[in-house]
Amino acid sequence: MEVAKKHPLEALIRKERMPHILCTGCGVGTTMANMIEAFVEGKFDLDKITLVSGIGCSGRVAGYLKLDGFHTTHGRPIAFATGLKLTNPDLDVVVFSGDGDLAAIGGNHLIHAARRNIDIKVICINNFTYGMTGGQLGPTTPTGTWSSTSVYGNYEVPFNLPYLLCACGASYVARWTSAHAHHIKNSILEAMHHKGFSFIEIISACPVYWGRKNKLRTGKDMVKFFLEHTEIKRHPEPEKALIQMGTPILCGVFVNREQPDYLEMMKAQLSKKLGIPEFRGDGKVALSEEEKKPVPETRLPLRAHPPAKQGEAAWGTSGQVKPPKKIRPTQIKVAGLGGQGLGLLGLIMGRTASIFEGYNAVYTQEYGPEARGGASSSGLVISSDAINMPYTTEPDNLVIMAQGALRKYRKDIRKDSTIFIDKDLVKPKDIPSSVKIYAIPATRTAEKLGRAVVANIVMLGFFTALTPYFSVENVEKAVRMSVPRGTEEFNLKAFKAGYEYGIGQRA
Amino acid sequence: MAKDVLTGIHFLSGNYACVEGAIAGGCRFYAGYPITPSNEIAERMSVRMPQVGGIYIQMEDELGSMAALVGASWAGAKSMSATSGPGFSLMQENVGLAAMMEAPCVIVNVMRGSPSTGLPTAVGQADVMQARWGSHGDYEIIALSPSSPQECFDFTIKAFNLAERWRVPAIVLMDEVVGHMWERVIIPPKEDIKLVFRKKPSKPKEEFFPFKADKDLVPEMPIAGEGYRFHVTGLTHNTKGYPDTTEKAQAPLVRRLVDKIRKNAEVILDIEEYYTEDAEVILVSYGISYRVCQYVLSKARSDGLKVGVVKLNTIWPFPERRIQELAKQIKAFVVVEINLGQIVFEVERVSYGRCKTILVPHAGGYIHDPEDIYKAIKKVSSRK
Repeated sequence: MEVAKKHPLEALIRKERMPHILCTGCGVGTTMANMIEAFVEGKFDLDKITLVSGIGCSGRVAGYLKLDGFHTTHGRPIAFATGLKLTNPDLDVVVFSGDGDLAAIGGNHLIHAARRNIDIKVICINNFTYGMTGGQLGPTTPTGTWSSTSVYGNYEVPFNLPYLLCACGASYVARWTSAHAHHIKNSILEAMHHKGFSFIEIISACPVYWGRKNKLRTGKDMVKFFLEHTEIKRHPEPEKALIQMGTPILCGVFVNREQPDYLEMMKAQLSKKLGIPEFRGDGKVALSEEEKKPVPETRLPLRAHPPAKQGEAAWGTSGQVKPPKKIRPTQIKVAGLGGQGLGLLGLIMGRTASIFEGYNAVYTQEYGPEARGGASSSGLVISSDAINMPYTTEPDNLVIMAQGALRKYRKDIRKDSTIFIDKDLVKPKDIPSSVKIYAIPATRTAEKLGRAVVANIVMLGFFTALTPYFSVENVEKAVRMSVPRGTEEFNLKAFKAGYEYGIGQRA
Repeated sequence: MAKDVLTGIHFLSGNYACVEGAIAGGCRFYAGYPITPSNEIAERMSVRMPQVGGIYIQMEDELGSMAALVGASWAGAKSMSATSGPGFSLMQENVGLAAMMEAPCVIVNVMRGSPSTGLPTAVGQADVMQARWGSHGDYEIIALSPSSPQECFDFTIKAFNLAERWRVPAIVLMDEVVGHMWERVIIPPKEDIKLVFRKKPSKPKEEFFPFKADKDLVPEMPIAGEGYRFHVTGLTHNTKGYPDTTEKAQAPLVRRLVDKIRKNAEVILDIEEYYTEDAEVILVSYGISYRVCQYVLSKARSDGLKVGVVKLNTIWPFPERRIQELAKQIKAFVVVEINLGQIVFEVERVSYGRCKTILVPHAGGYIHDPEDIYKAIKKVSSRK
């Protein structure tokens, strides 16, 4: 018989890094060899296989194989692998790590990646210990057994990893021992062909620490023990997979089902709505230049005013739009309750001022933790010069839509301020007589028009009529840009109602 | 389909402008965890990223977010996360991983009152030193500090370009005021925005060494899946990328990681100066505090005080040479920051005692009272 001169898998091993650090009998080596056998047998594109490992003896595997490999930080290979896979879905991403790295410090990433069914394959060498650091206990150390930090016997209950992973929603979960080399290879092949989160636990006692101290002194003893104390079932029940001394180790494929992976879920929810066929992080999704579909409506300000054409006021990235007239820094404070639409009011005023009138404008908001009903205020500073101090600490104008807001911001009113109130909601109390007060039944007017929600726009019209800052034309442009599509005309009606009421109040 | 560059005149908050800058800058991978006052960044990203075919994933914590950023970078993504103090602390270990693996990525820290849970909705600027020294070990990063929503847009693009050019994590140090204030933002046409991508391998695969640097101390970067069969580790490594945990391998590697930025600082850093030619006192500031300084500057100059200001657009690397030069010409630097002293130590250090260095601190929660800054200027101006 001819003795082979080369190792059959030599092409995949970094010869210059041999010998490896793994001990005689350690299942990491067995699993590593079976893994690359599976890669070759399955005829996968080896350039596309990406190995990610964590910290520990099993973490060294990525460095021994001639594949794109990443030796990352403790507990993080699954999160790292998520970044790789979602950026380039054509990669076959395999995480090779140990029980402590994946289930203790990395536990959070394990359960969430399983829940999300991220299409990565996770090979977990469970040797019941933290081998590289000297044999300390871990989340899978069986009760009653020795470790360097449980010398009297472990008084914790370990994870039942197959049960945990099934509960989290993983779509492929299997367990074997390092004595079942053939099964390991086949399981890895199955996982590589599976679309979705795949978890393979390989039981392999650390021969130097846990194994040696728990009566499995050599690799041979360990393999014998595994072969005698394993129960392989065709449909093993995950809840029965807890490892306890004295009971057989339950092995097999616990779950293997078809389930859309993370990217398929994304496509199902988003592709039709957005007209985008796929999602990936490497920027290789071609975007068409023209807008085929209108952007789905959200509450975010996404619309912009088209930039100046040749000949119009020049602009650049530092924003030099020429203001139409000189205006000293003017502070406008808007206050009321959360839910009265004051945020939108400030946005419209800010757009009017900075985009259409050409002033410099700074808008800030202040609110409490309540989603509705808490006191909320916002401030707009406008000026033809650069604005440096952003807040409205000495407002020239205040728009007040709730009594509580008046109480809260009364101290900010200056003797030469002008205030605008909702007649029905605010009773002006304890306000200096030098302060000019304008009142409008904004909410009632809005209700009469059909919807109380436009009270803020009614107030906007009122304010525009009684102050010299904004032209009607510019405010209307800002309103059109800011309200939900389809409601422009209704909002402009509300604006007009407030404006005309204001004209009637001009002294 | 929405475009990736929303050319036009906008009125946006700093947080929203940052997102538009990221997408215009080529970001197509965002992994983050919600934290005030950066939530608006995550929210806008979750809407905009799918519109440009990119990935938005809300990871289970900040540790996972940062790890995902490094992984995504190695698969060819321009990746980003946004956070605030508590989350930034959680990210530090993998910021170090990014530095060690030389993986370009961008982290936005919208600074808030601290330490610990601190003031979630109010401003602070006390994470400046942490941006530089937050992870264990010797390494260098680049950090930028915008003072307006327009700069949030511009500097985020710049952060991506710098991260790619120098293969480091780049940090956008915003503060809560700049993040939440709304101002005009002008987004230029797509063709006017210049983008940088990391140096690609120029040698055939068999001869390629993933950590052999060029003269500029930056190595070419392969991408996973293209057949380079490279290995990358957080352990000290040689030019092939293999672990080499010896004293002999440590010095050249760590020296290069640090010199990559220190020796190239002059082309990386970006500061602005106003009225410094004849100044006796120079304010040094960044973020929202810079704008408060500008307010004081106008008042001080009109009162006849010879004051100037240095605006730190990049905080790291710190402009050592210029501050050292200015120190020879003036009576004092007055450093204005919303913390109890961070950048002031850099100013003082590189001044080598040639002038005084005065700090106008603020513990956090609000911007400075301009009076306090003015008083400090007056006090030091009247001294001999």
